[in-house]
Amino acid sequence: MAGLDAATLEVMRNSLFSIAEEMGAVLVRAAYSTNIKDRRDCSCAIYTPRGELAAQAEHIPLHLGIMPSAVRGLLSYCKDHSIEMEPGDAFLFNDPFITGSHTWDLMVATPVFHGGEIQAIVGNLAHHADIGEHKSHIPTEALDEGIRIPPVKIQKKGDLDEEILSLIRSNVRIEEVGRDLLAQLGANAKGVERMGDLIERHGRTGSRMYMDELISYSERRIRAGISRLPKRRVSFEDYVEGDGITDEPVKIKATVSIEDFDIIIDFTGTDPMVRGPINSPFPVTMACAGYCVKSLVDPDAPSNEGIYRPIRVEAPEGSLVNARYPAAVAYANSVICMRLVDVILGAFAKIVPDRVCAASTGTMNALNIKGVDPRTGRFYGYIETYGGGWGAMRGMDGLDATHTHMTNTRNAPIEAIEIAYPLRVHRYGILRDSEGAGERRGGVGIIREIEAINHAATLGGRGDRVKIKPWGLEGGKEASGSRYYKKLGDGESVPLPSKFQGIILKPGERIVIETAGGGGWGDPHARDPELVRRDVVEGLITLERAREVYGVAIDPETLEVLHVETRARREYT
Amino acid sequence: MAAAGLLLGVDIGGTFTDLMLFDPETGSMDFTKILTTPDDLSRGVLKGIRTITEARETSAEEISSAIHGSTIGINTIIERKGARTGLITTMGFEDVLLIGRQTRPRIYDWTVGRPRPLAPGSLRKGVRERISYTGEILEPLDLEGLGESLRHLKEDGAESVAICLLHSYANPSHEKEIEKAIKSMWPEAYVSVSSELLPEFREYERMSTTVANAYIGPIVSKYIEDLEKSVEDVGVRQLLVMQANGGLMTTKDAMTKAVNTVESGPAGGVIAAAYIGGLVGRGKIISFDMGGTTAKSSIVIDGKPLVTTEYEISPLEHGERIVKGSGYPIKTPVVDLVEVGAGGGSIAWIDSGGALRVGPMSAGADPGPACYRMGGMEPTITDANVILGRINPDYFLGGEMSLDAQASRRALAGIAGELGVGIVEAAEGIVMVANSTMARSIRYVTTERGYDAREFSIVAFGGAAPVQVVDLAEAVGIGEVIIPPSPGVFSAFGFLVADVVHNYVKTVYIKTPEANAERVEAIFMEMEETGSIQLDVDETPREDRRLDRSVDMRYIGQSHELNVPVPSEIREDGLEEIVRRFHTIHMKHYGYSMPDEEVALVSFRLVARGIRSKPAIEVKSTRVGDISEALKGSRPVHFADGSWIECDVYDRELLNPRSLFQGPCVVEEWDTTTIVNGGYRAEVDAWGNLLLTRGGGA
Repeated sequence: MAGLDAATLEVMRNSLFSIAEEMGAVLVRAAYSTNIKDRRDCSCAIYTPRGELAAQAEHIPLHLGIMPSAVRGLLSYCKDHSIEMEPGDAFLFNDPFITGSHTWDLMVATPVFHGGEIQAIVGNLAHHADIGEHKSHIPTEALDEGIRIPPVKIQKKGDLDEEILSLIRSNVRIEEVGRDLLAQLGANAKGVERMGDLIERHGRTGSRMYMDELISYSERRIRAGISRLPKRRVSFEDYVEGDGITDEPVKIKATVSIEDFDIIIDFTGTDPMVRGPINSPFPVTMACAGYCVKSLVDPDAPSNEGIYRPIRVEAPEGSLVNARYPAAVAYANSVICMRLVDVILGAFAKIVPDRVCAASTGTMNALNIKGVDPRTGRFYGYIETYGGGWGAMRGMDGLDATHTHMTNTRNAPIEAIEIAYPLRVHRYGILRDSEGAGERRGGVGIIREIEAINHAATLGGRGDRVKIKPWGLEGGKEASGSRYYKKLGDGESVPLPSKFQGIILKPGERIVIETAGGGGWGDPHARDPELVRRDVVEGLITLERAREVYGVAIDPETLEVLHVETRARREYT
Repeated sequence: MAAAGLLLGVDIGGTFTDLMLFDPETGSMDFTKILTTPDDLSRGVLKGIRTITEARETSAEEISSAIHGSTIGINTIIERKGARTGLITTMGFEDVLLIGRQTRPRIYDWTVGRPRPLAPGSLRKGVRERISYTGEILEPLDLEGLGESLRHLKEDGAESVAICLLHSYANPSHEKEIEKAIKSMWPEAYVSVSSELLPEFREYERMSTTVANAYIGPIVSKYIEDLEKSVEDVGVRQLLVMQANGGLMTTKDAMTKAVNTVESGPAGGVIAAAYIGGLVGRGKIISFDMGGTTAKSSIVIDGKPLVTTEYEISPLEHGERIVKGSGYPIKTPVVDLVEVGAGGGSIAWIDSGGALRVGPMSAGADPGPACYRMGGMEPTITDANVILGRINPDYFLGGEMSLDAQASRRALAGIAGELGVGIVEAAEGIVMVANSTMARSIRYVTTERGYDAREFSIVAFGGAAPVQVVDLAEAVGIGEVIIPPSPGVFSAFGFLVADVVHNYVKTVYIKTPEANAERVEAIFMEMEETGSIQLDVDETPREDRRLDRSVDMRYIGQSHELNVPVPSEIREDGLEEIVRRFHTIHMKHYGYSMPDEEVALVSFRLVARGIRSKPAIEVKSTRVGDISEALKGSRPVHFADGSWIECDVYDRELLNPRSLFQGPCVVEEWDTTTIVNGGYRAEVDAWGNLLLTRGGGA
């Protein structure tokens, strides 16, 4: 590539990235629902006219991975149904077998016309708090999961289709959905405007050429990274603890093969689709593969189509990782994707042991609370996902109480929750002693306790890793598992399964979520006593755990390490 | 505070302490640079005062106010040398500080975590109490438990305590009770109270701000107290402190609101740019400050710098920009700067995908660019500019230092080889990539905030900016470039032209159907009273006071507000006008508005200003318009279109006001070089600014 091309490429990369970010800023600031405006559960992207992802603002890894499939799905749907795209049109869709995501994620895509032709497509995906899904039971088929929207023109030649909007409004419980959709359209309008300026500046051919080149650039970087990996073929398997309908463990198996410039991830040996909604549409599986490879070989490569070109994912059709309609898929995004990542990383741990972390919290721990707000008489829907501990790796402790792998949404501020919903948060903190011990320890999990105020609410939870806990590496210990339970008025605890829907929370009762920590790395007795002391001071582990698990004696008054006793403990045990 | 006398600006940096002495009567300015004295900072300042007053044959008693900006607050956090800090919060929420927003700063890079809390877990104490979001007391404050916690903190060696309870913005009574308890049983502790510092909702950001204030408070207070004493001892009448929001505050305020002193240095540059914009009569200004390692952009609208409440202290840098979520957020207003890793010393490199990248690594001042011949081997932006003939190797720092163009060529050879191009093309590529990074930062501060960059003039300063700002302006579509006098020390000038500024905020949630002009007026009146009392304390004369009202508004259900200016007195229909303005601003920012929807007024803001008289910097020259004596020769310069053009070179110090000339040409001065592209017209105005605009001869 000639010098000036390299410079223009960098200019183009900056420009496209800043357009995607600007779209995101519009969406978040104009949105109504706490999930989009405060938690930023949304993503924005720019595509070539062929539907290839050219640039994306880095928000949520899962969205980043799904969005390449979503617009390709739109284009083939339009082709199959002879739908013409015209200037001023904007498409809305949420069919999981087209977007690859679950029904709550509404995708809006807008073609960018210049000189009478489509020069690019801008799109955004946002997670809405309600889509009219069943609230009393766990879905067992696609149509249990709320209104299913194939690609429709929500905006025709610049005019909003109020009829479609009314149809959607009538099928969802909360008012924010319609308003947030307007924010999504506003974000795309900003993208169309800015892409128009960009095409003016670089010309139509120039813009297209550089968008293509940007994709090839990411592909080259990923291939360069792959070429430096040892050429090996390794398998790993783990189990999901039930599909929400039965407790039967569900197997995920991945075989990773490193070729000269490609990676093949083969899920042969994974269980077939199940009744409960933990089935994964292929784009989710692909997103997880892309996430793992990018993180391991080149975290800085621009996020676009090029990341996925060197990766081949073999997922048997009709299996858990390549679900077909009418399978229920609602929990793929919050549970299975996280477990897929851990399985893929488990295989990579045998290929590049120094770069891979132990198992992390293993789910997004999604909680939804729905009901009628006694203050207003209107329906509300609270949704939040909770982070947990990150797995440890060589030379590095896992991050504490953080969103791991496929998500990175913010928490909802407690003060924001209490203003927006008839809920009161009683506790929000780290879960002490929940880390997987090791020379490098895993991160600790989170605890959150919420009360319904003056009304009965309906609960739903999408978790995992209660019984099958996050594993460690190289002798590192497993972390403590998740726990979900109700606390009754008298303080009694009623345990809940890892996946639940339709549980009633009476006034004064509390729902408690405790999330799993991350697995440890290496022998806990080899951990630097000074680091153990720091964890005690920070309140991450107790003195007892420091002594019993790490063999480090600490003076309870001064919080100094007692070296003689520590040495004795470590030699003796 | 409008007392006559000399004004002194003091900027204490890590290496140098810059002093600027200004005489408002004559308009004359003097500078000096003294090595910073880290063991006792006031020693360096006193030495500087002596040097600069002796040079002017005056004395410190003639200085009416010394205005001070420093990096001490921010460095205390970066070096983690703050006070041992405890936190008192609502029981059950002691870890909010640790969890933050539960995100990781970089999604694919697992090695980047959040910073460790400034108050460790063992010093974060929960007390029983609960207040609702409406301010109702749900559970009274447990004074016994509080006493226990405070005793524990004291025994554990805490020196400073932050108080941050849930919903304290709605009812500060529990926080006040806790403050009172600390003052009585533990008077030596520094106390930082969230409802006083930042009465706004969203607990993590409020807590983080309050804790940061507690962490640096004792250090900043002691330092300011010492400095104040030292300068007053030598006869300086008053010490004022620069704030991050671009205004000045009294030393007393700086001690209780220490967190407001962070980033006060760069804020000076923005204030200076705003001042120049006012002199020249431009309503929309981009302040662009490019030094050795970074470039900082920000905007000024109608003389007012844009301030942000989403600033982070000590974030990590990655790629060409800071990593959001990796620092300590503070929600108090900070001049909204976007900083990117592109300065004269930024290093160019080829990444694994074959792309040419510039920064954020920098050769800094030591070893510096390869052409400095101080051991630097890496190709930098400065080296590229030397190769392109844009920087004169024989007139760097006015010829005090000579640059080695051969060393620059050697440093670029590797990159040129990898790209398969010549040295000049490689240099051209480096400048182009750096410009695209800087262009992006300018778009962050303009388009991303809903402004059209093309409507702005850019004020460029810092040693590296004038060399490439015209190309940058072209890339973003900015029509006018302003190079102020003495671009290298321009930030210190900002201290001298800043006003005293106090920010007040009050969160009261009012929906439009329930809002009435009377209630809104009452809220503002109360804040104005507080502001007026403060201005009395400052001894600001009546005629120099300005009270600016605004309110953060949103559609009911949204949570990000837009700030809407409010007139100074709200009559009956005044409220409708405010709501109309909100719809218009919403349309401008987000591309749509919903005039039929209900609107919420959320945070009421008041800015109380004490206007200070400004230095008149008019250049008094008898030889208006004459450029003959400034022409000092010519040299070939490479331009972005690939051409080499033999350009006239002017000496900036010898250019007279009202001079007009055409690009392509070069203007050299001791600390920088301005490249004027072909097709540009250059004008020296009455204040010595160089104004570059498109148009005129080829």
